[in-house]
Amino acid sequence: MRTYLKDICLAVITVLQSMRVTLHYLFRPSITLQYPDEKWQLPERSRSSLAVDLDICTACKICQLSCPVECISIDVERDPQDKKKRYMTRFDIDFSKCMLCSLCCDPCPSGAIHMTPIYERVFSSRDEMVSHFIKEGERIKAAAEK
Amino acid sequence: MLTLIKEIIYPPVSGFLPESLLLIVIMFALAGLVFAFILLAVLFFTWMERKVSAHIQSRLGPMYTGGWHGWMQPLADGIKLLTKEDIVPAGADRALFILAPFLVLGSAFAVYVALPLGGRLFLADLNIGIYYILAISSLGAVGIIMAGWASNNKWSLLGAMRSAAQIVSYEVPVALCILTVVVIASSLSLREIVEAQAGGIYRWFIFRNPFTFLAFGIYFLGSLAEVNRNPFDMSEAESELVAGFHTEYSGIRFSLFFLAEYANMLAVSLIAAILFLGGWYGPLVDSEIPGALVLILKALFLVFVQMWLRFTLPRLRVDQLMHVCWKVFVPLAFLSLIGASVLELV
Amino acid sequence: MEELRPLDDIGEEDLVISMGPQHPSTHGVLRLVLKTRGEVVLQVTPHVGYLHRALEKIAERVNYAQFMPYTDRLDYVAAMNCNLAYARAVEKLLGVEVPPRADFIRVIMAELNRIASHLIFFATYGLDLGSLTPFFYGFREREGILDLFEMASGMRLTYNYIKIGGVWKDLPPGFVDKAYEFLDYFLPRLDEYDRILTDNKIFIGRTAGIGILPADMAIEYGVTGPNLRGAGVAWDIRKDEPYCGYDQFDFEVPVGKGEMGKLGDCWDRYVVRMQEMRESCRLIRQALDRLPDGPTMGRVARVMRPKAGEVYVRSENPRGELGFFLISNGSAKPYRLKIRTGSFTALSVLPEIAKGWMVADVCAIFGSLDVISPEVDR
Repeated sequence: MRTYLKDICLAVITVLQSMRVTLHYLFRPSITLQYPDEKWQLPERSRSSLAVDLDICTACKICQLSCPVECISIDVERDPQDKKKRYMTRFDIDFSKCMLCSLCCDPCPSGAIHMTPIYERVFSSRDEMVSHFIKEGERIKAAAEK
Repeated sequence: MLTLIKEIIYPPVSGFLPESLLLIVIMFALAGLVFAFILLAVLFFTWMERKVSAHIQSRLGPMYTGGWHGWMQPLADGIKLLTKEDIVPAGADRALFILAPFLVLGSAFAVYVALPLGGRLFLADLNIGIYYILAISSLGAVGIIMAGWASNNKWSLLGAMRSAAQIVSYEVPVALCILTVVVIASSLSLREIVEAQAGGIYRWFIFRNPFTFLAFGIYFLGSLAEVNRNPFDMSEAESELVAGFHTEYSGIRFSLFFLAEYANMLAVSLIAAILFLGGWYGPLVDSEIPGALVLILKALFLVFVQMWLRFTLPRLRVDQLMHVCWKVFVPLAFLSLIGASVLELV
Repeated sequence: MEELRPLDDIGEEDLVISMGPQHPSTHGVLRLVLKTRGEVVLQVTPHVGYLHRALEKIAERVNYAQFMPYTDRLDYVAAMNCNLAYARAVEKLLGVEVPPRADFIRVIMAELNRIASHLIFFATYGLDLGSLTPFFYGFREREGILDLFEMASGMRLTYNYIKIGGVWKDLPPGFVDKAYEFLDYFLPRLDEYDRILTDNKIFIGRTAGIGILPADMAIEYGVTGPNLRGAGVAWDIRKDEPYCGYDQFDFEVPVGKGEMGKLGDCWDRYVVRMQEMRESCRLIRQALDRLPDGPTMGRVARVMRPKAGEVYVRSENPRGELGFFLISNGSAKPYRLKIRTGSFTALSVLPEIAKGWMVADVCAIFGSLDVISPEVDR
């Protein structure tokens, strides 16, 4: 009999305690940010997308070798006249494969390939997900290695 | 109220229509009015539930539709539900599947016939008011079993069985608590019960003696179980049975179940306000319309408490539900009945 | 496998219900086939493999350093701990020394992730049992931790921060202050969670005395982590085989005592995790107080070629032990990598402890085991 009454009293008391906690939050301001009117400030190391600055890229292909899913494709050819000059004809990053692990950015000697905080990217088809950083038919001269 | 309307409307149109036809027209119009009232209330409750749940959970809830805090959200939801495809699962018992939501909604709707909102604002002043309400609200259980069986889905069947057991068991403590009030007011008629509480807040039945306070508590919790709300919502337990007996329903049919649940919530809160909280009598209130508003405000507060409980407590398992009903609520309800009756004699 | 029988067997025969693969309370994609008589469950058969991504095979194809992002996806709720476990395994094979600052940073990250993982457990357990608000409270607190991780590593879920030999980059400026702020904000919240769920009589009624896992059965099945400690066995790798400098810190290992109901029930496993969150807060505070200066990366070659050999290293993950068995044949890629996870053994014990309870209890028991499907299927 005593446990029976004690159970009932405990039940009522603990229920009221729980209700007090939720009532406390009923009157506190909520933490929602109403996107797109209010946006979250990303920290500087944020890894939301991959980009490459071809002006300082030395075409060493270390990023292509480091990538675990092989999403970077680079084609390099040498200038037939001047053996020291190298040109890149293709620099593709396949974003359907990239897992934003930044294993390509760490060994890059010039910091050309880097992570950006751009997270609002939209692709309408599979083909669009492959970013061609060098347009069809163009050649970009590889920067001199330090 | 029918006689009131008859006196006002009949003389001008007596030349056109015979009396019986006029009566039928008036009855349909009044039914439509009650339905509109329920619809508006349900729309408001859906919005209120979403807002209350959001603020308890540190979120914002609807903010966009219609501008100010998303007040048009329930309207948008209703339109969406109405335009959905009407799916009757293959292998389902078609007639029962289609009939079930109407039965549940009908029983919820029929309760409002006997509920008075003010001294003269009622549809039918039954002298067995509360008895009729108890009887007709049990019809919802039949509708739920029909829905669960006709869905041809094991999960729905489990939910329906649980729900039937629950509703039938909780009738007992709820009826005993109502009996407590009836004994004090010496009448089954809802209007006379409210009249017995006139004259100040200390005359409300909830404050009359500790046994009626207990009766109010048990009535409130028992009525939560009647309308399948958390912590007694095993039959629509989202995390186990997906949606219980109304898993297979979509579109208009689902919205009928939805409507019935909120209508039940409001009906049960109104009954609690009428029986225990002084009905349409409040401070500084004498006439009809403010009285109705006061009653609705009291019912709204009780509905808010129901929503508050929903978002706080985990749900009880079926056998624990039964244990709580038969081993806790029924003895306490008996205790309150006997205690209140004894104190009345003294 | 039990055949699913047609519906006209109800009433006399047993009911065969399939919970999942899409079900609100099987955490991840998992199929549980229940055979019940009325409401009582007679047999539970889990069907796994819906999330199999062949991680162990992929490990034979990529370098040791390149496999690190894959360990994030093993148990994505506790990714730092998985990173740490793998890094330790390869470091043992290579014989690399980790500088002390890196050790302390690893401890801070691992314990923060333990709190985040247990918060998800708390949130989803409440949701399984019908309590809708703790879910939002748990995730709201978790946002604070994820903000800290985003400051340090740049990502919110799959960090790839703990590398072989140390950590990726040093802690950014402002991290330590923000971490202290978070700890001050978070500790009172745990008392609130106790009020809303742990002490709640309805919650106790749903979890105490249910799904009892006795200590000897737990050891037999190889259950580890909070599930084992909930059964009363005081085994924690951080105390018994310390790594990363855990022996320098002062913390306790909570063990289930059977306070409400019997020892080894769902409530015990739940309460062990809640207390572990408090201990993690203590650990993080101590690590932040005593953070030494120095380098954050040991001497490691860019392409690692460990000597031929095999090693088995296990770490204390929030869900149990994460063990990496690594066989190297001297090349840059592992010859064989076998991952042993805590969720797999926890799921294997579910059919034993769920027998005889009701369908609603299966959700409570399964939730208390804190199983994550990607860890089960790898």
